[in-house]
Amino acid sequence: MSASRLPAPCGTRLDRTRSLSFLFNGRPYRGYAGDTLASALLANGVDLVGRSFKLHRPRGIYSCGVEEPVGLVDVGDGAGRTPNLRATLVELEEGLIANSVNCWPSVGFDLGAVNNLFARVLPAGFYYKTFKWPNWHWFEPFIRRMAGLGRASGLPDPDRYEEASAAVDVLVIGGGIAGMHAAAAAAEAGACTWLLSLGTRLGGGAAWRKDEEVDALTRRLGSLGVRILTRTIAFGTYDHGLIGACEHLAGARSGGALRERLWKIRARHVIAACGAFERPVLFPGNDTPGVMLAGAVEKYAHAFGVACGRRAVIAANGDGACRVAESLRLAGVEVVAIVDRRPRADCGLPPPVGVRMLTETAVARVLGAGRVSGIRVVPAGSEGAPPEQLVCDILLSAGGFAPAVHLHSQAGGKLRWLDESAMFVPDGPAPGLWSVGACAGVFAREAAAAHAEAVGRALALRTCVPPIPVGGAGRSRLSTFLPGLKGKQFVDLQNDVTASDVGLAALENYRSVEHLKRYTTTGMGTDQGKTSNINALVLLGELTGRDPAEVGTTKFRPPFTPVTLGMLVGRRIGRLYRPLKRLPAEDWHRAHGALLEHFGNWQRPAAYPRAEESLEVAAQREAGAVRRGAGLFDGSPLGKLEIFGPDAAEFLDLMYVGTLSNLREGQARYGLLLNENGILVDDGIVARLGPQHFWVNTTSAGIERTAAAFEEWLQCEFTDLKVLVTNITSRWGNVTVAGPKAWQWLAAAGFDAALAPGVMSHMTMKESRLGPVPLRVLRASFSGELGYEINLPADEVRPLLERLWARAGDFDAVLYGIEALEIMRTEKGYIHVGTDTDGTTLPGDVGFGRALGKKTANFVGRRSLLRPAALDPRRFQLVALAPLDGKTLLPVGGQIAASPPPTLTEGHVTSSYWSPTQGAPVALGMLSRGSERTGDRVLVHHLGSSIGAEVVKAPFVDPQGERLHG
Amino acid sequence: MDSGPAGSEFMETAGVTVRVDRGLHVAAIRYVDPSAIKDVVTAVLGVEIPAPLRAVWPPPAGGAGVGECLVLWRNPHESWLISSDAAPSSAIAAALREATMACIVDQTGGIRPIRIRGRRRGDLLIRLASVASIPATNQALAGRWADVTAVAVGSSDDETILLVERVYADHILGWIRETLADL
Repeated sequence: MSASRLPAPCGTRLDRTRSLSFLFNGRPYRGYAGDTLASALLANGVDLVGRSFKLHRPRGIYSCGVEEPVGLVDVGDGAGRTPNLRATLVELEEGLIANSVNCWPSVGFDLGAVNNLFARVLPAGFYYKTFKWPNWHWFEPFIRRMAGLGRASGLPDPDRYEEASAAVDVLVIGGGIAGMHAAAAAAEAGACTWLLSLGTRLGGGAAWRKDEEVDALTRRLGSLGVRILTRTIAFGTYDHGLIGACEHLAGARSGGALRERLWKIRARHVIAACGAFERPVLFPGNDTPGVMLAGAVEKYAHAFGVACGRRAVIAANGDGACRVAESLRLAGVEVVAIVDRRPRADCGLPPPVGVRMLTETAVARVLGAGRVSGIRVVPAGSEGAPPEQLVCDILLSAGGFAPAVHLHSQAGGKLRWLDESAMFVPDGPAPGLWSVGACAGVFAREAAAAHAEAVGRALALRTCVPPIPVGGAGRSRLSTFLPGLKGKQFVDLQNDVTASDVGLAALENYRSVEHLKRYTTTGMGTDQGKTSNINALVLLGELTGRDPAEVGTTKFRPPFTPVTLGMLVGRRIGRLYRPLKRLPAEDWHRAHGALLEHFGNWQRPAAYPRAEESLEVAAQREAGAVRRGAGLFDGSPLGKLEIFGPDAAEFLDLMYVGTLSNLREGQARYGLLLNENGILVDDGIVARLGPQHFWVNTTSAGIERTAAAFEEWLQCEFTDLKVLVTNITSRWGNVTVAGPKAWQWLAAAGFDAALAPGVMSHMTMKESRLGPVPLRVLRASFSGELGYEINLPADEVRPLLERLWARAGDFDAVLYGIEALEIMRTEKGYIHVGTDTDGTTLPGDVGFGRALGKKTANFVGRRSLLRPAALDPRRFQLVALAPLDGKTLLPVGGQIAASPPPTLTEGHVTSSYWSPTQGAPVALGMLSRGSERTGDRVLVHHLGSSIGAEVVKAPFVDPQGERLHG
Repeated sequence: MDSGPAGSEFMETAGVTVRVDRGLHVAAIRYVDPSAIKDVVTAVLGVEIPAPLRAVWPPPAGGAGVGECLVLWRNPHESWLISSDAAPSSAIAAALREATMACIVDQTGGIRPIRIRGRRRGDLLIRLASVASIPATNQALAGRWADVTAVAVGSSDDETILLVERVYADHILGWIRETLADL
């Protein structure tokens, strides 16, 4: 525990007047307002923060930002617990609760650490070679328990999330110096400009240095009206200039507040100013707590006033080490030495006074178990040379930089390798996205500012955008790996991928960096390799004799950083989970005991169970009651179209299997709708309202696709037909009254006598009125009973239901739901498209072969019905089925075959119910050569049981159809 | 054009009011070709069928003395007539009685007009839809609002009218209610 607070002026982000308490792994600590959880833990001397994924090795805070690979914590408790947050991004709040992940029973004593003892037998890809014998499923539960890092609460998230959209001329991603310059210039040139900043304040790496330029730029942006979103990270670039960004609105302990906002921003031009990540150096023991990125240690000192150690050594591979050493010295941290792998001549600045410069030297070993206590260094390339021991309590890793090219790459931009600085930089702009500052490879501040200004201005004015003046990062050694040293050299700290793992992959001939990633898991996980990718590909290149440009990078994919599922879901939970269609009288049905379920995107009554009744019992009662007396059904979801125009009749003949042009006014006819492949996609009733005016009923779930199909055929194929198709499903509700007493009931409720069965025949439609309410009444029936489908304005459905229900007692009438209707239509042998049919069903398969033969005119799908497969007599055809024992319900989906599966199926059961009318089960199914097999006995197989059944003649009820007429 | 509070559902938060105006009449004017309807609309409403993506306001007591209303473009074969009473659509229906190339279809009750007004109207709208779907004044755009297809009309500098299929109105209103609570 060697960390401590540094006095002002260090700690520019802190408000030292506000002390905050928090719990970490159950122990109380204190920090200041402005701290992150990571800085507060470091200030409190907490070295051990978590455990690595595979080997459960102890890990401390490694970085200071979004790239953090190991400082992962679960934050919050109970339902509000959020797993796998980076401690470097969690803002400290009073009462914050955080816990280490991937350890049990504690981070200090973790039983999973036993894995480390077996590390030699757990190399890269070991799981591809093991767990195969005797059976993977023996291992699966254990491995599932081991998988993942933190644990979700398992309870409903109490917080709320929302989404919002925006459209801007110029979107600048990154609130550092370059981003601020670009945004200011774009806004000055008149562009509507937004600036997204991950931090709570602008300035990026310069913000904590009391930089006057940051203050001036902040004022300039404010005066120009630039919209600045802080705590906002752009996590993905998508097609057509769409940027996904997450704005953090509430802290980690939000407790039911609006926590995050998903921004969908359409930008004419995107400027990425995302900065760069520090590239670590590889050496044995580089995962020991106390080994940290050099830039992070510098930022903790100046921004958070935390000395991560008192005696530092910098392991270097790039030019930045001397600058960091000087910066730390000014902050009051002693820098013992810089250990640079490069020859003296390649090193940049001279070291600060009092700092030893060991060139051509490498770290051979990190001393200390739970925390760095010293290091041993050896001359690089001189095997067997005696090591020198340096006493230190922190080891900084400074291997150069890796520009954050993620968004550039996601947008389709190309990269090029910059050998001098050992980094990939954008090779020109990506489509719609321009990089500035460090993420473009421009590290010199003045050059970055000037370039960013020029880019912002040019994009706003739509003039020529200047090229990128790459440079300023200094030199960095390409090679990162020193062979011959003992000990694990970790490439990916989160996933425990070592240099020898990469070596094993190379040995096994993995040459693609994408394959390397999948095989070793390097670059996977929550950090997606922000500190490891470059080292991994450089190493692979060294081991396979290729330079990094040839090896290339893995594909950068969204999200740039982890995002919560809550943010992606937004408001789509509970009642807003998905848009459900609501009945106009839903409340009335609820009040009358309806059990509402989802059918074809509608929420509608399945049945109206009475006390203690199950759904099945209620449906049986309702179906029986309809057959005996009368029933009331809300058919409002039934699809409804008005077809108008001089060619309406011809058009409907083209769209339906049957002929509809010869319908007389008031007549109605059943029709099947096919697609161009001849497949049955919908059915319904077409009624003629006038010479060029038709009413079309579709299935409840099929209205959108039918309306779309009509429009598509009109707009793309039948362009000469003058027809207007209007969807009126929402406008017109439907109340259906069915049963032998249906008309008596309607008559008692005041319906026009012209609708009586003796006057109005089956399959006709009449326009009528009930008082002032216009009605379109169709005599049709899906139940097999005398039926009236009363179409009326949707707002009038509830009054009509109330009016009819008031007289229901006089006619033994019941309310019935979908389940009862399904029972009754199965008794009648009527198909339900989508239930009895599937994506292979042709009209001939459901008994419409004769209708096809009679129709001479063309119709959609006709040609497909002449294909050999459509004429194959072995096709599955609709049949009625009855169990041989007269009591066993045939299972829906049960396969029909001569012997139990696996065998070639002869068909399957599609609908099956207990018939209250028959007092026995009834079923429909599709059976090969079904139309020829009445009387055949078949076996229905389902989940290991077999049931004997007979192919019988449909319908089961009222074969003469007499009940339809009352 | 305001049918008054009767039959309305009302929500209010600082800077935004949302009201379902059940009293408004909605009718779809359908035509094989705009020329089939042009003279009728001009004669009855005193305006022409609107240009694509536009909405027009016939003058009060327009051509045939009808009440206050709004006509908006929906597609090359359809415009919607929104009015505070049934008179405009009845007048057009009467004029089209013998027409073969055009008709009017009553959609009242099938389309729920939701009126959104106030200083912070924009803050609510960007939380319901893409900004590309948010109409400027005198614009009429179809878009995806709270995961549902709806038509939005910029009826004035201070008001946007959302025209939502009745079956989905509860869904959008639920989304609006939750959003307003967080606005």
